[in-house]
Amino acid sequence: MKKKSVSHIENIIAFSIFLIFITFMIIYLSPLRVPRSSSYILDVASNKFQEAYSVRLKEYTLVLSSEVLSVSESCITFPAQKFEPSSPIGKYVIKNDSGVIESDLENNNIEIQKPSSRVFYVYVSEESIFSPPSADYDGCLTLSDDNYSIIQGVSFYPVSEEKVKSATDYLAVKKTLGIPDSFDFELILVDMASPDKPLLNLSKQKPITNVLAREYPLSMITSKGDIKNMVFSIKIW
Amino acid sequence: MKYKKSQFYILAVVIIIAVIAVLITTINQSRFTKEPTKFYDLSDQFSKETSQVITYGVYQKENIVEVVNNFSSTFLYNYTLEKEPNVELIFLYGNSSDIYLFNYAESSIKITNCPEGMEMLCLIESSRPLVLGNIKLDIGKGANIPTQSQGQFKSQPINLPKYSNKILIKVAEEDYEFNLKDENEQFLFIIKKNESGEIFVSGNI
Repeated sequence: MKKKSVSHIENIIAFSIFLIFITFMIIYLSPLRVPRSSSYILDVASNKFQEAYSVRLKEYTLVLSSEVLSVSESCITFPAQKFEPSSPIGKYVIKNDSGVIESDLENNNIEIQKPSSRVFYVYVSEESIFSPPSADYDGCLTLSDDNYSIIQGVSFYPVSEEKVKSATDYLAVKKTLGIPDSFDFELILVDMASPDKPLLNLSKQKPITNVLAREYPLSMITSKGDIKNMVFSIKIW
Repeated sequence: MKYKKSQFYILAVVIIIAVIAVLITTINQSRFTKEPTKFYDLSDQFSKETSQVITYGVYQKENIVEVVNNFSSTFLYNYTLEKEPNVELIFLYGNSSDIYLFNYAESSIKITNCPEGMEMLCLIESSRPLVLGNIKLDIGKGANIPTQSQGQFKSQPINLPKYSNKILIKVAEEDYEFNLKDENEQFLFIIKKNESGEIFVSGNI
């Protein structure tokens, strides 16, 4: 009788150890866990979106000499090739502290109304993405090298409104973003100032679970030259 | 009875072997150094602020070399190194008449022979640290441009000979080109950080 009870205890201990071991193995090896490859797809898609829809924008500061502000001419002109692009059409926009300035391009010379302050900025893109407000000027003062200084500024990479607007085909965008065929996605780009009207909204009906999502802010340059703060949101399943 | 007891031992042995096998199994791991985000943010900040500082200098008709030197040394020693240690800065500023080098790196910068067929001023980062005091420099081919002493706030910028409007500078085994346009106030900066033997380089390059 005594021996029989000891054997029962041994069995219980053995079985307990076995169960603990199985539990440990299941937790440690997680055999049922599905590899989360889609999280990498999310990284790739976000990066490819930036690559495909952003532009390199270079900012130059132009400082006029104080004499220029007192000349009788109502407009000034300076050569566009000072800012690198060989063919400047659609590749530049001029701004001051209050916003975009109207300009005209005449024989590769940029013409603008005589500014009220000595400092303004020229934003130059390598691609034709701008259609800024234009105006016609006559009899402008041609700036000589002594009249102004150009300060090389910084380069930055905003998303281009022109490029984003062309992204209307779900399958083409899916290919651009490198999303595999077996996955689907939703992509929304919305202006922070008007969140109800997304600039870009590409989607397929998504499931309730197992959706990976990412959202982050980015800046966008419009065709008029304004820089807007946007929210980029992507969901993949 | 004996049969049941042996069952227990067999089970115990299987468990022990399995546990040992799991513990000694080699696990493949990839280790990588985390990208120093703060370092790249500082680089962007330096780029934007330098442009503003030069604009201020031009607008106020100040001595831009002095203004830039004051700003870059203050930015590095009073701000950057407090946030991100081991950061080094090499700065080139040029305009229609002159090119200046501000070297805040540990190693010295040397004028070197350019690759065949390249008509430009070629600079190379010398691997040997060379910290000199206020020694008058005779700049010419092969001359050394010393490191500014760390912590020395107003170090003297070096006026480089202007062979052409192009400068090639080799830092951390990489070539960076500085193309000067005559009318422009231009700058090129390279900041680098050595972290766990890995060199991170950034700048307006």
